[in-house]
Amino acid sequence: MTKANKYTKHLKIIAEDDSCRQLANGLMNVVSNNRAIDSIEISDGWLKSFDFFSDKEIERLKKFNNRILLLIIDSDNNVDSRFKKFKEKVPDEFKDRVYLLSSKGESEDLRSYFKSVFGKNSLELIGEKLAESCHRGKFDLWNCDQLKHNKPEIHRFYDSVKTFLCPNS
Amino acid sequence: MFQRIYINNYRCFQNFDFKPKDCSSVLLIGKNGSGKSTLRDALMIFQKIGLDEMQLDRLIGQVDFYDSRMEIPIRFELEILINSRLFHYELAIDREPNNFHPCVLEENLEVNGEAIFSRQRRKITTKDQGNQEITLDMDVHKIFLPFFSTGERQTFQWWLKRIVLLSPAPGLMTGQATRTKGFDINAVNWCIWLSHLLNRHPAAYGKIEKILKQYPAMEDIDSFRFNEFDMDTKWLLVDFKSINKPLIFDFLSDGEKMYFLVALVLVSSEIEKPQFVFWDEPDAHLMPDEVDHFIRDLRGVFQRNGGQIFITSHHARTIRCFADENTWLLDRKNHSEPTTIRCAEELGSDWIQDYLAGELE
Repeated sequence: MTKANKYTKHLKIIAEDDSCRQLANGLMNVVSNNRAIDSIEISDGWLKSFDFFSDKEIERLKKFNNRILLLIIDSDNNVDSRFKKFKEKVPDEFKDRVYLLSSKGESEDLRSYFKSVFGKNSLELIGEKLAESCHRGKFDLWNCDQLKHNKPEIHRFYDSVKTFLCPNS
Repeated sequence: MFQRIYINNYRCFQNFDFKPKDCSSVLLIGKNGSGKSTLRDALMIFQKIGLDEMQLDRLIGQVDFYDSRMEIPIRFELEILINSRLFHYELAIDREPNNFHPCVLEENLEVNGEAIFSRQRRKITTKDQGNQEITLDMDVHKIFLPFFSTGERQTFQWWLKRIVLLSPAPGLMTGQATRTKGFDINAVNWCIWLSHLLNRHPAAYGKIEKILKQYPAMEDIDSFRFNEFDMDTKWLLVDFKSINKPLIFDFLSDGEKMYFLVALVLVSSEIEKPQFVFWDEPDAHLMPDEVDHFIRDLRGVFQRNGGQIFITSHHARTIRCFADENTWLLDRKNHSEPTTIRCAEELGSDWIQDYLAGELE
C-alpha cells in the first residue's frame, strides 16, 4: 500500500496464525477496492496478536487516523474471556476503529462445519463466502455455532468498512 | 482450464504428475533448481506446437532426456478442460537407434475418452469427415497435432496457441512494436501485445492508464501513445506531467516497465477471452508494498473471468496471498534426483515460516 493511500480510508488485518491469514485472504478476495487494504500481519497466537496491537498498532492508529483495524483469532472455546481481554486493551478513542472476529473453537472446527455446507474445507473459500454473506446483507453464514458470537461485531465492522472496501455495491 | 500435466524423463522430471484441477490461480514455489522454470519450458513445447511447430528437433534435444537416459522415452500428457470437455493429449518421444534425432513414438488425442487420433511411430489412425476410420502415414520427426488441424484437433491446438508464458527481462523490454510471430517469453516485444489490444479494444487504454496511476512511480503519468516510425514499426512514448517532453519507453526504469506489463496483463485478461498464463516471478522488480495488491488483482481477474494463471515466486508477500490448496511446493534433493511436487495442504499448518527459514522438511 502506498504511503499516500495510508492517509485515506483503509483496512489493516492482524491474523493470529496462518489459518486466520487464509480466512482473511478470502475476505479480501471479494473486496472491489483492493487498494484500500493494507498488508496482513501474522502473529504467533492470539496473545501475541493482542500484544502486537498494544505495542505497535495503537501508535499507528494515532498516526493513520483513517485506518480500520481487524484482528482475526481463534477463541479456543474461551470466547467471552478473549473478547473481554481484548476490549480492555482498546483505548476508548479507537473503539469505533478496532474490531475482533474469532472462531469459537479453532480453525479446524470451522473447516469441519463448512465442509458439510460447501463440500470443501478451504479456509480461503470460507472467508469468501462469509464476506459475500455480508455483501448480501443477510449475514446468514455467521449464524453457525462457530461464529454466531460475532454477530454484533460483524455488523459493526461491516458498517464501518463497506463504503470504502466495496464502494460500488 | 488446465487440469493436469504428466512428464516423464524430461530434464529433472521423472513421473512428475501435477493436477491443479480447477484452481484459477496457482502458486509454484521451491528453491532455485527445483524445476519451476523447467515446467515453464515444458509448457513452451506445447505452446510452440500450438503455433504450428511440427519439427520435433526444434522442440526436443538430447540434453532434454533426464540424466541422459535416451533409452527411455520422454513422455508428456496434458489434460485441458475446454468448454466442459476434457481433452487428453499424449506425446511420447524417443530417438533413432543410431543417432540423436528425436522421433515420435506415440501421439494421441482424446476428448472425453473418445479417440480423435492415435499414433504409433509413422502410423496414424483417425476418422475422416464421414466418420470413417482412416490411417495416415507421417514422418516420425514431425508432430501430427498441428498438421492441417480441423475440428477437435484445431480446438485443442487453438488452446495451446493462446498459452502465454512470461519470464520478463525488463532490461530487454522495448517500446518498439514491430510485427513478429508469437509473444517473446522475456516480454521483449510486449508492445505488440499492447498495440493489438488497443487496436481491438480502444477502451483498454483508460483501464491501463488507471492501473498505472495507482503505482507511486507512475502517478504523474499523463499519457502514453505509439509514434509511427514507418509502416511496420512504431515506438511507445510516455508523457509525464512533471517533464515537458515525452520519454521513449526504453528509457524507463526496470520497475516502471514492469508496471506497464502488469497493467497490460490485468487489462488483457479482463477484457479478452480467458486464457492460460504462466508467469515466472511476477513480483520481481516491484516495491514490496505493491506486491500484495498486484497479486490479489491478478488472482481476482483470473477468478472472475474464467482464465487460469500459474505463477512462481520466492516472495514472502506473494506466498501469503495464496491459500494452501492453490500453492504447490517443488523440491529436488540434488541435481541427480528428480523433482517432486506437493500441495501445501500436505505441509501442515504454519508451514510458511519453516519454508521461508529454509527449514521445511
